[in-house]
Amino acid sequence: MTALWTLLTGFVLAAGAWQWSTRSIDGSARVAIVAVLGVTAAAFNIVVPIPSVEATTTIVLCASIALGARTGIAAGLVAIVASSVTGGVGVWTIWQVVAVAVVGIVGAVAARFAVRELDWFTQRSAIVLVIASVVATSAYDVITTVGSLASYAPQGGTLTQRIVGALLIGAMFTVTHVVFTTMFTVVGGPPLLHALGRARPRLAGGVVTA
Amino acid sequence: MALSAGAAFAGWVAILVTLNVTGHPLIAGATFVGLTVLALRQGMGRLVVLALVIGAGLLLVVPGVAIIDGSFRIGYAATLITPRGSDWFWALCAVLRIPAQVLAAALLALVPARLLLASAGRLSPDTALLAGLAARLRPLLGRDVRLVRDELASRGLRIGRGAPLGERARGVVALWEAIVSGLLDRAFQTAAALETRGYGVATPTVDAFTHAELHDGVRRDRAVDRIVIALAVSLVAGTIWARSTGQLAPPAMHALGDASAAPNAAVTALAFIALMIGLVPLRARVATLGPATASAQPFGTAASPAELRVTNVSMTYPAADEPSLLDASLVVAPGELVVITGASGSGKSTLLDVVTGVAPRATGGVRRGEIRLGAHVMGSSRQVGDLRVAAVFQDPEAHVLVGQVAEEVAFGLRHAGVPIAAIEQRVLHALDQLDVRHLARRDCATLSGGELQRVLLAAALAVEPAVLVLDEPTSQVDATSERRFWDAVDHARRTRGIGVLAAEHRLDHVLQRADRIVVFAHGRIVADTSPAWIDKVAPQIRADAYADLAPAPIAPSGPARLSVRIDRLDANAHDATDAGARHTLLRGLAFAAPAGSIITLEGPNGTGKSTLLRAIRGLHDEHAGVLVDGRARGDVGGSVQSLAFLSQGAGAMLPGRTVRHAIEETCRRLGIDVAAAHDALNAAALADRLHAHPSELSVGERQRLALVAATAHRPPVWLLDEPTRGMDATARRWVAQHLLAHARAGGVALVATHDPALAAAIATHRLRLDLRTGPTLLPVPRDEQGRIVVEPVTIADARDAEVEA
Repeated sequence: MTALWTLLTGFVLAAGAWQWSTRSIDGSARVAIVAVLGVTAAAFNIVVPIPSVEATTTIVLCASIALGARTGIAAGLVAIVASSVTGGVGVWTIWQVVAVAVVGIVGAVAARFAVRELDWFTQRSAIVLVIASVVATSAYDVITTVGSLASYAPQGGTLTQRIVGALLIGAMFTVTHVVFTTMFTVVGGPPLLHALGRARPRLAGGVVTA
Repeated sequence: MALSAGAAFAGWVAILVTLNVTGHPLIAGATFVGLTVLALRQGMGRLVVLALVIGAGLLLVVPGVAIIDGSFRIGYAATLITPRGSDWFWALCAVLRIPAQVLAAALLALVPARLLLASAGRLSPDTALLAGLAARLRPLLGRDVRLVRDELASRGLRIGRGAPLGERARGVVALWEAIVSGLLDRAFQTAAALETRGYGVATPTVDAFTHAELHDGVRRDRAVDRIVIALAVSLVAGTIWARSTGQLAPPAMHALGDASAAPNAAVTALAFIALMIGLVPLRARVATLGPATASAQPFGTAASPAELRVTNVSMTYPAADEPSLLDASLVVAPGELVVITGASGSGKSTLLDVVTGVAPRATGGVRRGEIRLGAHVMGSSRQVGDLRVAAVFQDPEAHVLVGQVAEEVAFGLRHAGVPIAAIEQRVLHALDQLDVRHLARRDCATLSGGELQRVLLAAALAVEPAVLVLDEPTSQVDATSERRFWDAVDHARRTRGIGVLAAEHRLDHVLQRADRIVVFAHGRIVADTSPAWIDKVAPQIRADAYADLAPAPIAPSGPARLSVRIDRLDANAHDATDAGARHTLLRGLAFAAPAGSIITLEGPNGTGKSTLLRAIRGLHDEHAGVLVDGRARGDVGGSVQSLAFLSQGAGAMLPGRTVRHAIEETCRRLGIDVAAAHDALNAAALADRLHAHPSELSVGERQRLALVAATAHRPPVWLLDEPTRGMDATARRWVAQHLLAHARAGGVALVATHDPALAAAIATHRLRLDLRTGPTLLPVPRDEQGRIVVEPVTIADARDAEVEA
């Protein structure tokens, strides 16, 4: 029953993230940006996959830094849906949604530290990106691994023992994942942040009736 | 064979429950039955037999696929249980898992990706919109990336194996910068399309057949959806039954150990989710209209004509110091055609943006003043009344939101909350009006420019607007398409009293139809008069862009600088008119162009003008025999110094953080003097835009910048695709001068254009492409001074030119 409750908890979290991020998309510019970023992230997964690089993490992180967590998470969800067409859907999909939500939150927190107007082509901003990317990628890996594992409820030992075992076995993969994704973020993130910075003023327009 | 979104969803559910989760035998059996029915309804009985054969073969050949490590039971383990007494039913179900997987995979492989993505729209209207946009944008963005890669390669970007590592790294970063910048621009275009097509007005109408085909496809899709529901219900019911009878797992599964229990719990939850996803959209949503205001009219109940009144409207874009539109006031009466004109950046597009609501909702910034449509006041929040202003824009492809023609026309109606039953009628009526009903099932990507503009006009008229806003809608279509488009507009305003506000640079095409003409300059309206008076009030407006160029006689002469021979030119796979089909654009074209030649490529949309230029540049799949100054062209990277290339969408994909950065990076890559490029920017009237981001430029300005960047290194041969697109008279004149100067300096240019005035002004040779008649040479107009002094090279003569592959 632990597995069932774990899965249902994941489902509730994923559904909440889904509703929160997509329901609250206001304005055509934000909708269009979310769709474009989501398709771009999915394309990295399907068309031009880079070994050990999770481009979705980078794109969600940057979108969250520049435009807020809701936009970043919604873009991640579109990427998951689009990737599912070829990658399939399973228990892990639920945990991917949860993980994307956490990456979005990390991005939003990073934005508070970095100030959105930061020039993303400077060394100082690269440090902010490195830290955010390491945290976000690590969180993504841990959540998808632990969530999927607990949902399947494998036998042998306590749940904690199994999770710790799985994380240790997959540690090298996680480290590789974090290193390469962070490198990708440092190289590809600044141009993306710069472009998204141009989009920010479009998200707030007003009408003054004389 | 076309599967519907319902079928796609069935395949998806099947994958969900059979391929990726350790499955319950009952689920495997139910999935197989459901997919078999689905396949049979699609006339795919052979596929079912094939799946059974493959399943049986796998059972015999690879019985050891099961992975049994004491913890997991994955793969085919559940199918390999020997029946024990009453377990035969479970074993049978379990065995069916393999053909179910084969069948699901085969069905899924047949479904277009866009339908698979669209099926995700069942989660919610918001997800429907996002998934639909994602499906639409996926191929479009792919093409954008190819475009920007080709553009950069044509300007010396080296990311191939031959380049040094450092240069490759810089090249990849530059490519990525250009791509993300272009992606955002694509998003902004999409946002504008969403604004003008009704996004945000009301809760959209979504039903089980979202993105399904209209007409007779609806009936079939309903049947498919019933199968999906039956499938989902059986999944959940079977699992619940197994749990309620104390059989958390069936006996056959118990034989594998306790591990089966947990996966079954997961399956229960996932199957329940699948059922919910399948059932939710079946309840057709009743339109929930936007915020009720005294002026808001229920959509579709009062399609009466209404007057558009713009009063003292100003608009300031974000980060702009000055307003782009200042105190503009005008009235468009029902049935009236008001043409607005003026130079690039004079405020025309801004006026159209504020009238349609694109500004400030999708652009940011602040709008002041009042825009009133009848009694309805257009404000900052979307209301149903706003939908009564519809629009058709210059670049039709960028404003397609769904893909399939019928669904494209239905988009605005869905987002206005029109009931499902009424949508189909109104879609068909609109398609009939524009004579494009035969295109209803086509994908917009396969239409010609003229067809697509009429489809988008049908989409605009389907929402029964009171005012139609047109932003140079025919600037990219041939003369026949242009006439048909304007005839349709005339018919709509005469029969339905629709007022039309149209921006045009090429006034000759619309002036005889117009009731009034409004002239803009520096953000203000400087004249509002009848067409009959325009020559007195603002004579410069009708002035010929190419008049008084006073060129020295151009005399193409000497040995060929550019020689081309193409035996056969096919459309690219992604340009094909039918899925997977490639059609031949032209056969047997050969010509030799001596120094000083300007060859214009003319003809209807879709006849291969752009493809021919790409083939000559080396960017097309087909091999073209091309010699420049007697030497073989070489690959794209190797021919940068001899060929300049400007693609049709180049202006939309300019890499660089600023105009200055874009041009200086280009100069650095090409190894040329930056000062020369800055001189060219001055000549193109872009010197005061150096610190702007390329995306902040107007369409005409971008096109000028792209042209400067493409030709800054002055290669001998220029290949330009629609170089005057979106430009005002002054800019078009600059392009003509730029080309004439190049020709006088001994260069050669091939120019694809829909602008006959440009061709008449600069061409030494005019080549018309036509799919039916093949390429033909048109007579070159000569003025009294006899500017063209050399007889054009004929195709027959050119065939004899020695062109080596």
